[in-house]
Amino acid sequence: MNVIDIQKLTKSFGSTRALRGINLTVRQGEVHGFIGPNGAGKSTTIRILLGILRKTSGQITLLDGDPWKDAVRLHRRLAYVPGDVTLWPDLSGGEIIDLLGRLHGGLDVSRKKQLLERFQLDPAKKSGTYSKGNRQKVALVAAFSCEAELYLLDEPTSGLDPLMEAVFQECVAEIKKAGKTVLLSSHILSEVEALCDRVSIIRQGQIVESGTISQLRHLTRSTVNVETGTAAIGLGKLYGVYDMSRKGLKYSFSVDSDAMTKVMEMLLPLEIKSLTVEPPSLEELFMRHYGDGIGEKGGTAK
Amino acid sequence: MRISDFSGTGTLIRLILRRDRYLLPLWILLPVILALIVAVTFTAMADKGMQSVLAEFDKDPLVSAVLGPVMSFDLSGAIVWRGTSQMALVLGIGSLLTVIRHTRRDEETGRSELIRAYAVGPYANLTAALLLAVILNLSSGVLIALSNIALGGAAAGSFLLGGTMSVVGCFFAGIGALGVQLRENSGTARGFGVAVIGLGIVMMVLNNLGGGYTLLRWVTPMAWQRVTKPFAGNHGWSLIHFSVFAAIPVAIAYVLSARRDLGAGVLLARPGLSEAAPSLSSPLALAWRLHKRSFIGWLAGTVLYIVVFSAFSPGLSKSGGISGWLSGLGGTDWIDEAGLGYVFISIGIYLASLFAAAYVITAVLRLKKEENEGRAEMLVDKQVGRIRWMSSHLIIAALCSAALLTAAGIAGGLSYGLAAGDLCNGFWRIFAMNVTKIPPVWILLGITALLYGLWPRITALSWVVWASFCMLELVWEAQLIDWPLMRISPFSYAHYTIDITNLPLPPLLGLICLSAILTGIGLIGFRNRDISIKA
Ligand SMILES: Nc1ncnc2c1ncn2[C@@H]1O[C@H](COP(=O)(O)OP(=O)(O)OP(=O)(O)O)[C@@H](O)[C@H]1O
Ligand SMILES: [Mg+2]
Repeated sequence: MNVIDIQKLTKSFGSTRALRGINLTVRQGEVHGFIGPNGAGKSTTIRILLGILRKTSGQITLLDGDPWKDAVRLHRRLAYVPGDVTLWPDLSGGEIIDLLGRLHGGLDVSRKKQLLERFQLDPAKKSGTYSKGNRQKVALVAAFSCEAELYLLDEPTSGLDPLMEAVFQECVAEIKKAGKTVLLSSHILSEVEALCDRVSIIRQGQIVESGTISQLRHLTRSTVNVETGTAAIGLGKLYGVYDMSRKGLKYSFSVDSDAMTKVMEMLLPLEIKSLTVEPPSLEELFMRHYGDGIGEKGGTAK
Repeated sequence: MRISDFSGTGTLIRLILRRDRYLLPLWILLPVILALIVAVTFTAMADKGMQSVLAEFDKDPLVSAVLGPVMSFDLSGAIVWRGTSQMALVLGIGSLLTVIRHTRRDEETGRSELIRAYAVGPYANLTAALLLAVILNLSSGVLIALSNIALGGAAAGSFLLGGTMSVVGCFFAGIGALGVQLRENSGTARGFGVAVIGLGIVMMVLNNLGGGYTLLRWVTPMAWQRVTKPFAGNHGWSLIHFSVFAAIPVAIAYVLSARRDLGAGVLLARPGLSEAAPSLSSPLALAWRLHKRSFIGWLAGTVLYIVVFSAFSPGLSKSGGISGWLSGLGGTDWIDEAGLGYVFISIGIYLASLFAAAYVITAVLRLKKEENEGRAEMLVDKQVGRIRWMSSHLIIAALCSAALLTAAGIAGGLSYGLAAGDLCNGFWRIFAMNVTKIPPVWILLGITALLYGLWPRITALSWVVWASFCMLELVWEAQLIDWPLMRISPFSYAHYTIDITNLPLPPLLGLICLSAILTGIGLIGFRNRDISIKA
């Protein structure tokens, strides 16, 4: 079952076309990573899901309703953390968490206490004196202490220190274990890699790739270092092979996943002396999608 | 509209009550205090009997040109006649600011986004803010009524007066609700609201010039008491009419708010420049860029006000009947010497100088906004010394306030001169009246700068000082205090009762020096204190 189902969603702000036909599905019980460069449209998509921005066109089903029309009913079943939390400076963090909980229709008090402890947040401080990370924690504690089926997290850990980042990852893991669904937008790739079952990459208002991380890996190139007994003539001209460099009989190049068989077939008769194949790092994977070189053949977009 | 569209309203009302627990009582009580001050001053003046005092005022052509005819010749009537416009102004500003603070301001900062992601209906925030404004106005209305009854007023008239004031306040709450739909920033909403209030005041004065019962009294909330007539016939039914009138902007606000994105306005945001203009190359240029829009708004308002006032002044004939009170104010025969229309415009300019002082306070407090929102921090590391940063805004505040009064002098002088048929003489006098108000206005600049530099947490005190100077004027006019005490107010050194051609200049120079000293202390204080940091 899909918790979020977006088809051909567009959104324009005047002449700016922020979303140009997004297709995105998030399945029940999965943690779905939502990544892409600055200004790609992640926050806009999430705000439309929250029903605080109005779509220009397209179809959206959120849980079992329409995010704009059924906002209040749906919001009882979801929780949201923005990436840039602003609070009422004259209220304390604890007051704000309780307020948000009341607006949700109640929060789990023992869970709140536990979360405050884990995130090391002093709830008695006036929120005007909180640091950036502490403001973020207020929204995180409020969201995680609310009972919800779906968590929309838009760069939820921006400003958190590595220790708190770890606490956050634990929290998401617990939610997932409880069978809840999460849509997580983030620029921290290690976080995405650690938490997400599936990932969608958005670029300039369009989803350019969607799938599990290993599926995405498959779409990109591995780096091969090989030493052969005899010269490998024509290896560099093979379809799917890039960035060939050669030192004597040592070759180093990158290769598309689907060209790997062809390359191996060519190398095999040449007597392989040593061979290493490195899978693409997540960074490389994303660089390729974020950068301008998308869809181009040849040349890594490093 | 469904019930769920309002879900969360109750909790949000409690949030606003919590946040405004000190501010709300202030807005509720201020109009009551104003009514009481009027009562005290009139009681003090009425040694010959309230009836005759009011009758004398009523015959005075100048006083009734400003305040309109008296409707009922007793203490309650005095409160209605003298106090309603101030009460309407205070309730109007209070309602306007309260609504803006809890709607657009929250959207602008992003707090609404956090709230709306919870089970909060799209109308909840607007409804909470408006309900709160209604509560504010009703409480104030009831207190105005009760204090009137306590002073011996009839119950029906007292509640009608209170009710009228409540409806006036609610109207401006609606204007606030409408204003916040327009653009994505709260400055536009405030500008819109203040413009409507200003227009209301101008129409009120025009209505009074026209005898008090022109059609304008239906249009401007500042004159609605001339329709509902508390203590003078009690036309209570027209309150219903005005309530409907007050509901119109509210209804439009609801319709507009349902059509727009959270955080956006119904008018689309205009794109900015992709590169800074070459002139934007110093802190001073940046300060000017930041102050420009609000300054233009104030400039337009001031010029409009002065032109209207000056154009009507020469027409006021000198047809006798000046009250003993008024002629007593400026020593013997000052009105006979000066001429009635001339006194009228000098009072008008005096009021304009109080508004210019309000402007200078808002301009200096821009520093605080820049600091609190973390932008000061961004600049002071860029080879911009603290003193240079702070003084850039102060220079703009000083120049803009001076420009405000100079422009008023030129526009008012032309308008008065043309209307009087004596351009040269009229122009220079009106011009001088305006320009000599600059030093007292700068005193407020100095005080605000000093507070900001030394104790940024209590800069609101500058408003208290400003209000005290205004009060001092009222109390002095009521002859509760003598001139020497009135001299505490810097505005007394360019007072409207002093003939402009004989105005002593050394005290004005003294004021300029004093404001420079205050400003200097503020600058030094700022250099030595912590900058508040937005983490
Ligand atoms: N209110 C608005 N008016 C005009 N344009 C807007 C508005 N809000 C967003 N945009 C534009 O829409 C595009 C998408 O913005 P969005 O905030 O969704 O990006 P994002 O993917 O969240 O980026 P980031 O990673 O920096 O948070 C951007 O080009 C942005 O400039
Ligand atoms: Mg974003």
